[in-house]
Parts: sequence; structure tokens; C-alpha cells
Amino acid sequence: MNRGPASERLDRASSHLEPALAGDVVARRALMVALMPVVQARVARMLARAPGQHGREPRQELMDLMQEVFLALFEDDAKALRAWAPDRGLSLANWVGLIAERQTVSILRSGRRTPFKETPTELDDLDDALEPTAGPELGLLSRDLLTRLADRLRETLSPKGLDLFYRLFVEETSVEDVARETGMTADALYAWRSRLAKHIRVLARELSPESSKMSVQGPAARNP
Amino acid sequence: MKERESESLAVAQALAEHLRQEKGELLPFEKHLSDELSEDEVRTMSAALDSQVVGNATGPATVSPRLELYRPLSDEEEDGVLRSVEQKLGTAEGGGPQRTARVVPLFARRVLGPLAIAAAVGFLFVRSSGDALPPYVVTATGGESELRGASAQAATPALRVRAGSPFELVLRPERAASAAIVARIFLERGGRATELVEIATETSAEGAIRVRGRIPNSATAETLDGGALVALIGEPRAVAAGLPAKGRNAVERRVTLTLAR
Repeated sequence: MNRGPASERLDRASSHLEPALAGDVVARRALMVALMPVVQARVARMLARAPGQHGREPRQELMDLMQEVFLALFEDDAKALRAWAPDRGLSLANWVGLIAERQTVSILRSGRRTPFKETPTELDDLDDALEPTAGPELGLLSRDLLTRLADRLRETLSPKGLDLFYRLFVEETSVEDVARETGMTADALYAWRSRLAKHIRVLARELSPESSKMSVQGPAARNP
Repeated sequence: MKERESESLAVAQALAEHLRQEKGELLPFEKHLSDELSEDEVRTMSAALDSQVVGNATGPATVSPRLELYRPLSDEEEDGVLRSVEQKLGTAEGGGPQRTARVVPLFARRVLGPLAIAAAVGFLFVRSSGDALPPYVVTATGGESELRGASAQAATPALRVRAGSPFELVLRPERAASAAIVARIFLERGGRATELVEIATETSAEGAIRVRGRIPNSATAETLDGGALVALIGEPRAVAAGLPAKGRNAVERRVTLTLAR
């Protein structure tokens, strides 16, 4: 099988998708080969934050987790792959990458894969999680807490929600540009941005019982 | 309320900044995975990052394990991952059963009632370009009314249909074929094909296939008039890529459609 550089492989990935979903095992293998670099990159990203922390040889743990990600993609009649919609502004590689991050985090935390749901937390569900939360102000969020917060976010959001978080907050893309890229309305995106922020605060409160002793500051302050 | 919104935004921004910083730390390693940086270059860049960011987790103790994670998988390692996944999925090459293409077994999704109106019958021998697939006889029945002039030996069967019309195609091999043969049915007009997935299929041990379905309710007059039902016949792997038929193990056949008014 011609494997080739990562970028060329990813270019070929979507062309293998339809026959792979139709049951062609050769196409399925070709699809996995094409997605191998992005799955490795995302699993490695989750492991690289604390290499060796899990007490296993990193290379072996990497490959074990990659297997789990591929199984998650194809289990339940490849529900996770079938849920990818190319017209929503997310490439197949990025879609798979988000699922890879979520599965890796879930396995590292709980030891098992999380069954794929297209919308494990959608906007309405985020609303439900926003009951008034009494308590002191959140404080300085340590690097460790932020890492755990990111993990919880990956576990609780759908790929769509996580994608919007990356676009609106991490990449700081304007609402107008995200609207153009995803086909969503600006109003819907403003609602997502607001509720994502609230959802993150709720998760931070859950993870930070001693938050009253700290104050929210940027990374420079975290690493004096 | 305002304070809470402000706090929410501050936490989200802190998290975003954390992820940007994390991404920056790992960027040299990701470039190594995509063959843009050598190991030596990664070590140099990581050392430079260390000197810029106090408290950064990157350092001699973490660079080597991270390089282990980001070193591209060898062919042997990839094969190991692939084999393991395929074994667990139960469909390793030469292993368990394969799923067929999107067509579904008869009665699995929808059982169509008897076709009330037989409108047109056409026969056609479809020959493959090699020996793998025997010639197939295609019979088309259904639609809304009989088409005048439709002969039993018409080169191209024809049906007069409208949205919702039932149809039945019988695809019969001249000689016994593999029971693994499947058919996918497409509605085609002007070079654009849409697969009909709400169909029922039945395959005999000799490789004959009966397909029952309905013209989609969403089909418009423009879609149907001058369009065609296209049957793509072959083994699952040969028809998996869809239209047009490729290779000698897949054939396609058209049933011309005219609009019933």
C-alpha cells in the first residue's frame, strides 16, 4: 500500500470514506492509513502533556490508544464517521482529530471509550447545566487545573461544540468568519459563545473547590 | 449576573490561552510528525522555548518521551495497529463476514406491497468486460401506466413514473453467479446521481437479485422526466465506490424514466 507523506495521505482520506462506509474492507484500511497521522498527532498531544505519567512505555501506549480511537470511529456501524458533514466547515481530518482527543481523554481518565453521540452536549443541554451556582469567585486557574478543565470540556462537548470552542476562543476567529465557514448564523454563534463560556465556568467550579483562594489570571501570571 | 458573565468569559479566555500555549510547545513535535523538522531541530527549538517560558513543562526530561510519541509510525507499527483494529472489528482480510454495500436485505427496512400496476417490462443482457461477472438480464416493472411500444427485448427498459411510484427490478444472471453479488440503485438525471437507500433487495443463491423500491416522494418532475434508474451490480467491493461502474467486476444498467402526467 502506498502510504506517502502525511499531508498527501490526508488529502486522500475523504475519497476512501464512502466505500469504507459501504463495507469495503480495502477502502476501510486505506482510510485508516490516510487518517493515521492525524490520529497519532491528537493522541500524542493528549499524552505529551505529561509523558510517562501513566507508567507505560510511551510508544506502546500511543499505539494502544490509536487502536482504541479507530475502534471508536468504526464501532456501531461507523456512527462517528457517518456523522461527519463536509458542508459544516470541518474537514474529515479535523473531525476525526476531535473524536481522537475525546476518546483519548476518556480512556486516560476512566479506562474506557465513550460511545459516540452526535450531540452529547448541545446548546440546549448547556443551558440545563447553567443553574445558578452559588459560591465564591473562581480564582487563579493553575496549569494542572486548566489541563483537567480542557479534558472535561473535550469529554462533555460534542465535536461540533468543541470545534466552535476552538474557533471562537482558541483561534479567536471572528463570529462573521465562523458563520461563513460553518454556515451557521451569527446569532446562533453568539449564543454558542456565551453558553460555552458559562459551561466552562461550571466545569471549572466543579474542578476547583478551593477556587476562592485564587484569582483568574493569564498564563504569564501562572508561570511567574 | 454581569459579574458571572464576566467571570465566565475570563475562565474561557484563560483556558483558551492555556491551549494556545500548549499548542505552541508541541508545535515542533507536530512538525516532526509531518516530516518538516528533524529530531535535532526539535531538540533545538524545544531548548529555545525553555529559555523563553519559565515554568514550561518542556525540557530534557520531556523532550525524549515526546519525540517517542511524535516519531512517525513505521510501516510495521502501522500494520500492527491496522491488524489489531481489523481483528477487533471482526472483519480482518480473510476473516469474518463483510458488510455488503448500502442495499439492505429484503424486508429489512420496508416491505412494499404488491406492485399494483405493471407498466413496462424490458429485457437486457448486460455483459461484463471479463469473465468475473456473468451477463445479466434486467427486468423492470412498476410505474404508473403501460408504456406504448415497450417491447420485451427493448435495448433500454423504460418506466413511466411520478414521485412515490413503486418499481421492481429483477437482475438475473445468465449463469449462476456468486450469491455475494449486490445491487445499488441510483436515480440519475443530467449526470447527477442520488442513491435510493430505502429499497428492499433479495438475492438468490444463483446471484439473481430482486429490488423493490419507490421513486422518492421528494423527486420532482424535472428530476424524473428523462432521468433514469441505474442499477450498479457487482460484488460489494466492486460497487462500493458508486457510479460509474469500474473494472470488470461491476456493471451498470439504466432504466429510462418518463414522467407520468
